[in-house]
Amino acid sequence: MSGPTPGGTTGGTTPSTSRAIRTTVNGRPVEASVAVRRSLADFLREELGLTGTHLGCEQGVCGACTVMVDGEPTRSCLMFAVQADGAEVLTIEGLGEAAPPPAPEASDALHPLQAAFAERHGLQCGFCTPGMIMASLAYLDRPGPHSRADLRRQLSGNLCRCTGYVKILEAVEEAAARMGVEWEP
Amino acid sequence: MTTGADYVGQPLVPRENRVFVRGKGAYAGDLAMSGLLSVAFVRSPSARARITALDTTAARELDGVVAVVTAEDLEGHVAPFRLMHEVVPPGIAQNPRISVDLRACNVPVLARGEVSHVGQGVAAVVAVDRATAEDAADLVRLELEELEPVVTTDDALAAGAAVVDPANPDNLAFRLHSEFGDVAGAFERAPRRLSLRAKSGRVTASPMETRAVLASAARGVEGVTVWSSTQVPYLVRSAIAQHLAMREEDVRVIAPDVGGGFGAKVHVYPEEILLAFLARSLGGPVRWVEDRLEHFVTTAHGRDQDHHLDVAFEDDGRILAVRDHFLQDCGIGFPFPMSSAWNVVSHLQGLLRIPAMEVDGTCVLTNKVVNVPYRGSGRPESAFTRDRMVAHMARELGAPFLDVLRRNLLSLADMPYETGAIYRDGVPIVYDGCDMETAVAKLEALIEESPAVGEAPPGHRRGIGYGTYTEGTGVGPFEGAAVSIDETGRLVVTAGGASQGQSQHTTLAQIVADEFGVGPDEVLVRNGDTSFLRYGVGTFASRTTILAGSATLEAARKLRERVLAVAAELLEIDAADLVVAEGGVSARGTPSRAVSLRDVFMATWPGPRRVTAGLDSPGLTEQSYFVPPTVTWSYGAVAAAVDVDLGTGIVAVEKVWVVHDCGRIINPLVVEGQVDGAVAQGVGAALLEGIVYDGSGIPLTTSFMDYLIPTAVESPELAKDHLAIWSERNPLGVKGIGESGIIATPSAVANAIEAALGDLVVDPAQLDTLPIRPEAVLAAVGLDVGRPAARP
Amino acid sequence: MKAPAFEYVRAESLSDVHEALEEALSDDLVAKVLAGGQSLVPLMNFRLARPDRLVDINRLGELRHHELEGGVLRLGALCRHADIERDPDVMAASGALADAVPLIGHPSVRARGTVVGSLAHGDPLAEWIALLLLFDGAVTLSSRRGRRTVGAADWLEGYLRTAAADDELVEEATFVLPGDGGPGRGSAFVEVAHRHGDFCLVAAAASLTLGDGGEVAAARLVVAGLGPVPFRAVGVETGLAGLRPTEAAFAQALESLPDEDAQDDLHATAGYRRHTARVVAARALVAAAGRASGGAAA
Repeated sequence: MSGPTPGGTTGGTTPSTSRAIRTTVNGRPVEASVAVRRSLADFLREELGLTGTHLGCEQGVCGACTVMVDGEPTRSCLMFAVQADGAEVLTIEGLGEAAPPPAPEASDALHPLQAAFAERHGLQCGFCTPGMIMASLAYLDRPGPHSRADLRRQLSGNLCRCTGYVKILEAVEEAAARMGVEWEP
Repeated sequence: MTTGADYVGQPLVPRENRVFVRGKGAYAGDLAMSGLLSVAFVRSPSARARITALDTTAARELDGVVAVVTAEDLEGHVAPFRLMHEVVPPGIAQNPRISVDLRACNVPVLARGEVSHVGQGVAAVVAVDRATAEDAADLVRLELEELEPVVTTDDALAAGAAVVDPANPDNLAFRLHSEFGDVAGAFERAPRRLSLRAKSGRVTASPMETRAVLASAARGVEGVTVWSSTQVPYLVRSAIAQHLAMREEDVRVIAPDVGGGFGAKVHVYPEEILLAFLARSLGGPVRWVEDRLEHFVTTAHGRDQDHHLDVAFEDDGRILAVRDHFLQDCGIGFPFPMSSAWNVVSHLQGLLRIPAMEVDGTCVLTNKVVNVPYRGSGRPESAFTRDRMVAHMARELGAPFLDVLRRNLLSLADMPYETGAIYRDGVPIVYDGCDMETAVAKLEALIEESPAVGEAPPGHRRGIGYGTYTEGTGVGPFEGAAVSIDETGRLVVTAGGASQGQSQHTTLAQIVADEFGVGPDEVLVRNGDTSFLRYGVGTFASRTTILAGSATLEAARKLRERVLAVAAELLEIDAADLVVAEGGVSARGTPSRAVSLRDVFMATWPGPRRVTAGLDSPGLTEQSYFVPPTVTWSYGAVAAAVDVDLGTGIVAVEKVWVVHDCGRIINPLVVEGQVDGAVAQGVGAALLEGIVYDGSGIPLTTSFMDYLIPTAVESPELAKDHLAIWSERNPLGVKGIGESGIIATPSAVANAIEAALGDLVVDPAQLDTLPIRPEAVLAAVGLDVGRPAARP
Repeated sequence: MKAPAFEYVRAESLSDVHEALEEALSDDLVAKVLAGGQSLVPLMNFRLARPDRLVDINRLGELRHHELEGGVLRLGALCRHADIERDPDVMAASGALADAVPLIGHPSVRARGTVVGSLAHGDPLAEWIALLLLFDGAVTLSSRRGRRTVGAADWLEGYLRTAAADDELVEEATFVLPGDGGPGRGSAFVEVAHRHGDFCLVAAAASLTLGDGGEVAAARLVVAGLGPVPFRAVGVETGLAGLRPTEAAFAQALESLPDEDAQDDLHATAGYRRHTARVVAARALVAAAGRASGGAAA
């Protein structure tokens, strides 16, 4: 009993190998037909060209693929795109305002976390950075108390090899201040 | 002669950052191209076996598969893959007290007849996407007749050992022997002698971005373009050209944004040769993105050195002689022996006065992944050996570590100091301006000013330990840069080297900005592309700022002279009365008499109206290749504070203090970042990281669940200070910093554990092997719970 | 590492799930339930797990519930670890829960991963498996054939093997929480891991009830990482009865902790596991005793 099933209808138990999905990505509605085995990460990167979400391990350990799904930090390599049907997805590209060229690097177009990471040098090669920023966003979004020690634990699922995390922690603290999030010493 | 602008030395926010925080980095896996095919590999599950069957029929028939390629298909098209990056310079080859035996590194592009390590590529599948390629790879039937693998260095050196590489039937990759002073005599006369065995385990650099190669060619068009997540685009170009019988100029290699390298991407890999071949055969673009599982079994590992050291010393702790014999496990190839191994010769001494020293290294081949210079490359292993030597001496003498260290330290007054050893560039080592005494004093002051907080809770012990490092930086042979002005009047730097997070686009811009009196944001910097400069090497070994930076400075200065000469002719004013600033050239004191850089550029366009100003060619480009006289010496002192849980043996590194001297600092923010990251890697090597193979050569650490790199919780707080004795070996005055933080951190951690355990220590030698796992900490206080897998 | 091909079934009701699982079984296909995916999908990406069908239950909103009533925590298959972590009443109801839940993976794992999913996956080092034993837990299974409940002692059969049959959905789990802070009751969970968020090397979960005189009236101790599956250290438990809850008493009682067949492996030696099992068990008992006495846990 295999074969494609139209999406959005009652599921029944008809198995399928591809499905139509409707999802919202960075505030925009997206309709697509996806292979069921396609990860959300690959869907974002390949079908939607949102390559800011990176694949570091595809095993759910490194956190480079972290995006927000329905407001929760999510390892997009461990989720299938079909599971995003009806969900709201936020990627790094959805942060800040879309500033027009030729000054896309202007600070005011950046989310405070992006600005703080950039200015505090909370990154070097940039590969872990989108996931790290999304994880930090999830942390700052949650009710407190917030502290550096707690932040270390909250970011322990996002691996970085370049910075030793020193300036990442400074950047998140600075962003918290800009965002009016209370910080405990 | 400069403009009075002062961007060098400023902590400017690297421009690269604003791109990456928006997710706009373009790594090799992000590049899009229509018709791009994907590659997956069939890889050997065995460490050593004969291939008895390799049937790709079912794979080729799978829908979406374009080709399946084996070694047979490469025959006649791809030369046997042989790398010989390094030569033994005359300064070493002709030295009567030194002997070196350097071999080529032979690694098949695809295994033919035999497989020689788990993970070796046996077949490559090209398909419409990666998932399909992997499905097809599953359908390839590979049958193997297992052979006895060479797993340990003992296996490799045993009589009748199996041969890993037929070109090197003695299983040797490299041998070195170096001596200076009267070692035997010193040992005979010495009142005290001490021996230790210091092992630095096998590790892997683990950049967050795995490797990736995208090669593109078109039928009927000569040439191939290869984007590769590499640190050495020029080495990759040469290797591709050589092995595919192409001209170098027809091979363009581009390092796009690269997500970390740390030395693991300083190798030329079989996949780079193969993808170039596939692109040309298929006449279109193909890409391979390494997954993390592949990464652990194909991307080069590092370290794996086992040192037996003897030291002869006086009763007051003064060292008379050191004798170090080490073994290194190279896997199936050792492409940079003069770095990985020879760095022991040049760094074992550190800034200690050692009148006589003998170093003997045997680097053997085994059926494991290739071993390349991972950040530090021989320096961390030798610094660890030396710092543990000092610790053992201190224990025997009942003296504090720092006292014994100071007893032997070279002082600034000793500079310049000729050590007696030769650097791998063949030049005798002369330390230039190193003041370790001040560095150590500053370290102590820093610890006092910024202490680690907190008393040890019940059941825990805390302590502080020390380490020191030297780092020969800016090794040649050269690196180049071209600085030009384009048709819009914009300053453009194209440099050798490549970036994996070192913010070179910013630091090089700062240098040019000062020369031309413009803001750094107005200077475009490009690197990592072999089409920009004819000659280049790459970024590794803490060399890029020194070499590419110096080349950039010299090219900028030459260009400035050129610009002034043309402007002088245009304005009919003497060049000495002109000022270069803010995108133009103007008369000193009369800014209205000016020409823009664009005007100057247009004036040099070939043709009858070209302003020649005595110049022999049109245009505004100046190139420079900087050839350093030899390396310049960074150094520093590191301390670590640890907490040891006596019940579980778990060690937490609470804080690390670093005092470094990297000469003149171009951008302090960038320097800090380099130190921070390197220290964390040092903590990883000290406590957590270890590549493990079982007795059959099967790797057991093949994921981030098994190979443990520090997270934000295990990484320490840092306090940093520096001194800056400018280098006289390059026009910038800089010294390297990229590897500094990693070299002495493991020593400091091991010594801190020993200090923390204090009178409980019964077996300090447990702390002489990295990584120091909890079992070793318990064994150090006399509790034997067995030897963990991760410890060599 | 791309997941191998599979067929996908999106269930909209419990009967969809039962039907899909039964159908797969009768078609001789392997079907797996997909909830949080935090344990299953990595295995699929490694191609170590190759289910023919995935039955996605994430639409079954009725399964996302948890309630604490009469000291019993009952939760449905879609209750995420984070749902528990963010419920102050539940976290306050048990020291062991409060200790253990924040140690489960990392925030994004807890946001999507489910308690029941962890129980169903059956990793012997998972915190919830140990807590199931500590809290006299039970797992409710449902299928076309009906419902049944399996007690904690019978749940985990081995590494990644549970008592669930191939056609059964793990629908619910219950835990009897000891009401810490209530009279004379306290529990704690202590683990040793190389890094924060890793699977433990060894872990101990302890629960103590103290009598009016402050002596141990009842004790429970679960040890994980020492042997193939976590176990109740029954000998230690009975050895503690009637004793004052001192470190010395704990150390003495822990001498009877069975060594089981601890093995050397990549992450720790057998000797290390044996040694630290006693250490964490003692610490968990001390912490539980501290909470039972109304003081701060050690």
